[in-house]
Amino acid sequence: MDAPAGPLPPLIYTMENKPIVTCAGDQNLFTSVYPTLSQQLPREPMEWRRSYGRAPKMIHLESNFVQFKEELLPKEGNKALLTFPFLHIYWTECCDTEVYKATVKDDLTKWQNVLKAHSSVDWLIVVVENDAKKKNKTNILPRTSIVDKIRNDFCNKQSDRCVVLSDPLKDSSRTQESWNAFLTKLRTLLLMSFTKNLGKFEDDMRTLREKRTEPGWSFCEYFMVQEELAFVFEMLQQFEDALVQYDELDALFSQYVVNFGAGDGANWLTFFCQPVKSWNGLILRKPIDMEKRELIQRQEATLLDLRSYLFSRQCTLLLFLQRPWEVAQRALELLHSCVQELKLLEELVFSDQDYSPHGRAELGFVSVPPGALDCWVFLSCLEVLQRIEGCCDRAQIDSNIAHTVGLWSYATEKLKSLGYLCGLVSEKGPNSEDLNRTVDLLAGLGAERPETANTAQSPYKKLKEALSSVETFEKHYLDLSHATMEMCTSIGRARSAKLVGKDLAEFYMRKKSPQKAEMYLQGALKNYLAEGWALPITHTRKQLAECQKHLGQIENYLQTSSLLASDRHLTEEERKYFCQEILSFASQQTVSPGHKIVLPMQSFAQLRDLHFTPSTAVVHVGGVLSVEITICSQMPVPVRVEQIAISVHFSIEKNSYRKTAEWLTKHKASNGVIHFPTEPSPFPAAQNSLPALELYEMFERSPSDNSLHTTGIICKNVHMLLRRQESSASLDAPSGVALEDGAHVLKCSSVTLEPGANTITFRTQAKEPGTYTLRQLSASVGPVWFVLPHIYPLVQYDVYSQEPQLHVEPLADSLLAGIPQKVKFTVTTGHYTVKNGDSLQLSNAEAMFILCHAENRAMIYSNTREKASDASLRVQSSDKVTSISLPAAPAYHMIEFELEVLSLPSAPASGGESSVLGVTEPHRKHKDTQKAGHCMATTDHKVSIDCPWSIYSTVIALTFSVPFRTRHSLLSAGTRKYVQVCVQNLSELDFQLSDSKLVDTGDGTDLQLIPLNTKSQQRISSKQSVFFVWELQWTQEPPPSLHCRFSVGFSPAAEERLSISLKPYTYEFQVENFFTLYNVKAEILPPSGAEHCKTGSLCSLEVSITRLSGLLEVDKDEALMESDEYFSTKLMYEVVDNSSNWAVCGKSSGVISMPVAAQATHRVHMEVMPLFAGYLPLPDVRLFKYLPHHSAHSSQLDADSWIENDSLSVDKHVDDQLDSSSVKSRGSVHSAASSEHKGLPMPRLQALPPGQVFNASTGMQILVLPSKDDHVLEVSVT
Amino acid sequence: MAVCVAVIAKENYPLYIRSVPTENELKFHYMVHTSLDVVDEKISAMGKALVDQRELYLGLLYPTEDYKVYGYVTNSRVKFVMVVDSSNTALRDNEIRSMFRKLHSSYTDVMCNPFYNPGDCIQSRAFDSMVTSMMIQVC
Amino acid sequence: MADEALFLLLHNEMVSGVYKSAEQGEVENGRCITKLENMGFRVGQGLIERFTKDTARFKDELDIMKFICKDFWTTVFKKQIDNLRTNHQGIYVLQDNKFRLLTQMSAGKQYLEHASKYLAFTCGLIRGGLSNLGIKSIVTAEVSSMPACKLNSHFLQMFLVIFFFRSSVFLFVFVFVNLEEIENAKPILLLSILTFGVVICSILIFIFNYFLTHNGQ
Repeated sequence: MDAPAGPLPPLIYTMENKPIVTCAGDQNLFTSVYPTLSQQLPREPMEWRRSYGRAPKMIHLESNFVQFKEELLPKEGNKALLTFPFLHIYWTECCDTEVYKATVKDDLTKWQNVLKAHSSVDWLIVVVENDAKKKNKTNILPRTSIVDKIRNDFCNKQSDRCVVLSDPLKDSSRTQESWNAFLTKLRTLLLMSFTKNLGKFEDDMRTLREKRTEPGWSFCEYFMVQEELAFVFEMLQQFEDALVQYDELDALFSQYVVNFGAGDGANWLTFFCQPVKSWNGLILRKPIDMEKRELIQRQEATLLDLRSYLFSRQCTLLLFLQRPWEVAQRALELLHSCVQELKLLEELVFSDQDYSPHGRAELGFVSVPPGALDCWVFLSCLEVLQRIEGCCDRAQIDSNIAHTVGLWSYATEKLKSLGYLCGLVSEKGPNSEDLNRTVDLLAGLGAERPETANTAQSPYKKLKEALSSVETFEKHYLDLSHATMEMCTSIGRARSAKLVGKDLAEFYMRKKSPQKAEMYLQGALKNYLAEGWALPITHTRKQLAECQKHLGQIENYLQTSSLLASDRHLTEEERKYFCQEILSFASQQTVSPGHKIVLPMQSFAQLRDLHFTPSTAVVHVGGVLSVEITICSQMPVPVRVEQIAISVHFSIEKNSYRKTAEWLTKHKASNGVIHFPTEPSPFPAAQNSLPALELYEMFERSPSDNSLHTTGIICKNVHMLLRRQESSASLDAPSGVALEDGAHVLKCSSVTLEPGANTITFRTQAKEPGTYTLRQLSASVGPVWFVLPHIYPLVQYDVYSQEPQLHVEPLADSLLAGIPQKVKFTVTTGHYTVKNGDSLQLSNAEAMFILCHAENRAMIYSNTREKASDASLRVQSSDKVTSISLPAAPAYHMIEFELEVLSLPSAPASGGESSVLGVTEPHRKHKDTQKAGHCMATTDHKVSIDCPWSIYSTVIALTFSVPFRTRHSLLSAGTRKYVQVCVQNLSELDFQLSDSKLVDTGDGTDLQLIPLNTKSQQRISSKQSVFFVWELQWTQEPPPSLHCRFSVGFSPAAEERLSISLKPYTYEFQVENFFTLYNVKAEILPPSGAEHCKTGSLCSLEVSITRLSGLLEVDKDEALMESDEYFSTKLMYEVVDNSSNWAVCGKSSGVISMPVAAQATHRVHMEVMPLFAGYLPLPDVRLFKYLPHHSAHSSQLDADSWIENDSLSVDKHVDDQLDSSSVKSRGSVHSAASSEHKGLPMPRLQALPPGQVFNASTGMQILVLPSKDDHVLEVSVT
Repeated sequence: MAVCVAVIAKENYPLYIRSVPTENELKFHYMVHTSLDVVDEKISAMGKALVDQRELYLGLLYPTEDYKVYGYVTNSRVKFVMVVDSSNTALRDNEIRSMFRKLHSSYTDVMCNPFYNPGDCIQSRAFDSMVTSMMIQVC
Repeated sequence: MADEALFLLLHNEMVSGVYKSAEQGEVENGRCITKLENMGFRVGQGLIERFTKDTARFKDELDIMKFICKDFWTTVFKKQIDNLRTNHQGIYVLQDNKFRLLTQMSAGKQYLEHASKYLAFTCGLIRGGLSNLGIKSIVTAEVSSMPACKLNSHFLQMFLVIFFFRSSVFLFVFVFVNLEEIENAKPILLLSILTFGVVICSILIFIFNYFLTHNGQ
């Protein structure tokens, strides 16, 4: 261990603490050797093996050589180690026997005896030789002889106790080695001595300690003993060991105090229980505080003295050991424990005496004057700090503030309490007894110590100065606190700094300078808020409130007090008080009327939920909306609020859909209650939790074959999370609350808010349509406005206005003409109020009537589809208009009623160009229904309705469809004629048909129609047909054409007798050329000889064409040629067998000239061959008019029609019976179509209308027998 | 023994703080809050320390005249702070340590309680009674 | 932790339960993963609290990750993570060659498309644990060429942990076939890790850009 660094003053070593070695014998010799010796001895360290298994140490030995005196030798039971001679050396350089015998031997013997007498065995004899002496001596014995003599004279068994040092003053190798040998020996012996003696000492010490329970044992004595040991270690520079000694003492003492406190009274402790008279702090500048040591020795030390001394020693040693920071730390502990111990003893004294075995009397008592300890602590803190600063450089100190800061703040604290004690912390200085106290305290400090006297900033001076006056105290206090705060902040102890700051603030408040205090309070409050410490927040707020009150920051004060009033951690009274503060301020009229003080509402009351009626939060213009809010008042007392207002933002909404009544009826579900989150948790950190991860399954397919090679979980909002992390720092809400006054405000005046939940209802009459968003909630108490700046989640209600509307729709999916049908009228009143006498004016279309019954009831529904009422409504109809008088209905309601309408079963006419039926529309429809097949003919009826609410009349179109389709056909038997009418029911329901009629509307007078229908009533069920037949009869020449109207009454079969008589269903048509001109008769005769035809054998076909009538109008055409006596016309016949039963051999057609006269007959004969066996129908014979080509303009037309008819003839006969109109039309169509072949000179054919030709042999069959050899026939045929 | 026991979340707001009814609660709140400074220091210092020194028990945070404040931090950065009357010298380091262990284990139970939502204040009765048992005077 | 088998079966049931409830429309289907993950989160919080009760305090994230790989994993899955990599910028790659929750599935690609369901809970477990240890993180998972699987966790202080599971079944197949195939298997594994590095880099770059832009604002 090398010597401690610079700052340690060397004065420790100047005091003679070195192991003592005595020297006897030749003093001159010793003095000559001494310099070398004292210089050489410490040079090399020596290992010191220790007893009790303590670790061996290398130590550099030094020693203090003194002349041997007998009184130096310790008597029995010596406690003083410092003055103990560890080794005795005898020096001699005698070299001749005479001299030895003469003097030296006796001298040695005496020396030895003295040592023996004191039973000290640590001795050494040094024989110094030098050659110089030998030179001039003549009678020389061998050098060794003397040594040997000495050896066997004195050290009989321990021969090593005698060493030779040869010419020490020379400089030769021999000298060197003899020196080394000597020194080593010396050291070893010294150490041996140490070990022996210290061991012995420690043993004694232990035994002494064991006695400590015995009465009369004195701690002070023991203290001295152990300290002796400590000194020795220190002397040997074994500071660790020295420290250990002191620590043991420390521990022992503390333990005693504790036990003492626990009632086990060790009476020696009473010595320390004297009243504390002086409290000058620690003294660390001197290595040993001698006067305190004396006190202890004299057993007059107080507890403080003992502690101080003990600590000063520990401090010194620690500084030797280069552990200044430990000093600081220990210092703090010491101070605390001292204070504790004194308290303990004190309360022991003043507590009743039950447990103390020996009376209170002999237990003196510790009385500590108030503030004394504070002084002591303060001084000590500063002393320690200064001591440390004394031995460290700036950098070290700065880097170790953490260790010292505790002392600083402790000192600050103490100074503060002193200040309060001495009345230095008040705007009017200390009063008399404060001053007395101060004086006493200062007295207790005693006089300043010399060693600090000349240092300017000594603790002593500081304290004295601080206590001297208010100003100086403030100065010192501020210095200290600021220093402390700086240190704290510099090492990141923000919270501690804040705490000191708060003390400072308190101080300022006491000094009535709140403006200084506020800063600190705000700082602290911020910190507590940030970390969510409820109680400190409350407490600090209270201080802040007071401060703001003094500063007259009205708004802040009110805000703070509102916060406090709502603070659960305060007592009811305090809350009431702060609440009252607000109210009283509000009540006082001093503030200027216009001036408003806006405070956040959060602390005053909280919006819990909000409820609309109607729950859909949608009202029509003029409707009443009520908003019911529940706010939870935080105030401890009922507060009367002048007005609570919700400012509303108005905006015209784009999509008007929300505002319609249908929307309402659909959105019944939402019950219209909006809940608001209660205040956020007070934990700031807990709030900024991360947004939820967006995790998704991930499937990764290999590009080559699209096979799944990786699945997993990925997070899609990494960047979000990162941003969140970034921005979470700036989370604090903006405090500025502005009261916005929108045009629209829901108000509620003079409400009293009870503590807890209150419900407040706002009513408003909806004005303009649009969307209203609730923005701010504000409550005003006098000039004080509590404002909830944003109502979140978003709350809005809608106001809509609706135009009145009229809907008319049939009840059934399609209206049927001819029978009464129900039509539903819906009047949506919208903003229009239907008064009595308002009516709908329907201008009826002809052919549609509105059937008005006596009882017509109208339902009135409210907007939300609840049935409001129902009223009867009168319908009176003149020929042109029907007026429906509506029942009175309020706005935004619906009137619904049904009416029966009847449209005429307007007959779709047949016989196209027949001009009888004027209605072209149904006709056209009829046409395309013919093509479209099985769907009903429809009629549209437009009705224009005049509504009371608008000048314009709304036109509605009702489409009726005719339930029937009718076809007619002409049948003939020879010259007799029949008309068949087929009625088909296309509708879904069944009908009852009654009294069917067919009348001739033409001029034909003598024509009569004989019905062949059996029953008059007939049921026609849906999708079925009914046929009616009439026979035509006439007397003289029949008319060329015949106009008929078919009419049949009908009524729904299901229904009972209808009130009104229904119009019959009519159908008009026209038949032309129905009179038979020619009779065609064909017959097949088997070959002569056979009475049956055979397949493959030719038969003869006889066709006879007979003219039945004379010349008629219909014959007047260009085919008619006039010879001299009679007329004749050209006909062409043609035998076709499209069923290919027959093969016509030879020419199958031919032109004949037919005389136009009754009974003129023309026969044709031709060969046909049956191809099959069985009853075969005859091949059919057709007859055409043959028009020669030389005739006039319309040549190509007929040519076409010839070709046409030739080709068409087939299908004409195959498909349904030809009705003339279609033939005509078809003819015309073709004439239009084929205008390309112009002027081909060709004969033309014209088909005879089917009515004119009667084929007598249709339906006749002839039996054909199969022939024998079919196969031949097969061949021949093919 | 203990005059105040506090559990403090990793964000430094109190999850649970309870002190003997006789004394002024506020004082302890301040004390515990201030002690967080030292806790933070020790934790940050702990980073450098060797594994064996990195125990959860932080030891004496700082003494004051009347109280000793001890600290403990779980791996989940939840801090336990215990204030002990400094006149009560019977309490040695080991007792404190074991008390903290007890505190920790019962805090763990709280954490694993389905009705406890991490980050909320601790309402659990079990925990409460455990703390009470720590605070009853023995010496 | 209860008996391992119990845990595994319970876990399976939980997964299927959540997905069933999704089919019944109680949870919208996409959120199943999230739901499972959240369950895991809470469990993780509790577990870590228990497991770290008697351990020494952690020095740094790496220390924590080691704990997760060793003690935590062992307690939950009765085995350690087989491999831990990190780039010391908060990206950790953990690899489990025998992830218990997958070993029950058959080898090959048979159930690959379902594998991810069985990772969600574990992701949550880890995220919860880390968050309770004061590390905000994102944990994602990946099963490649069934039933090997990676799990990426992404600390918000730009940390990314990537777990790389590899189920036994797969390996066993190799073992039984012959040994050199395992030699073949290794490069595949390394390759996948390499590709992985690329992924990480890209992510990091993205994040850096992100920060740049963010600071820009």
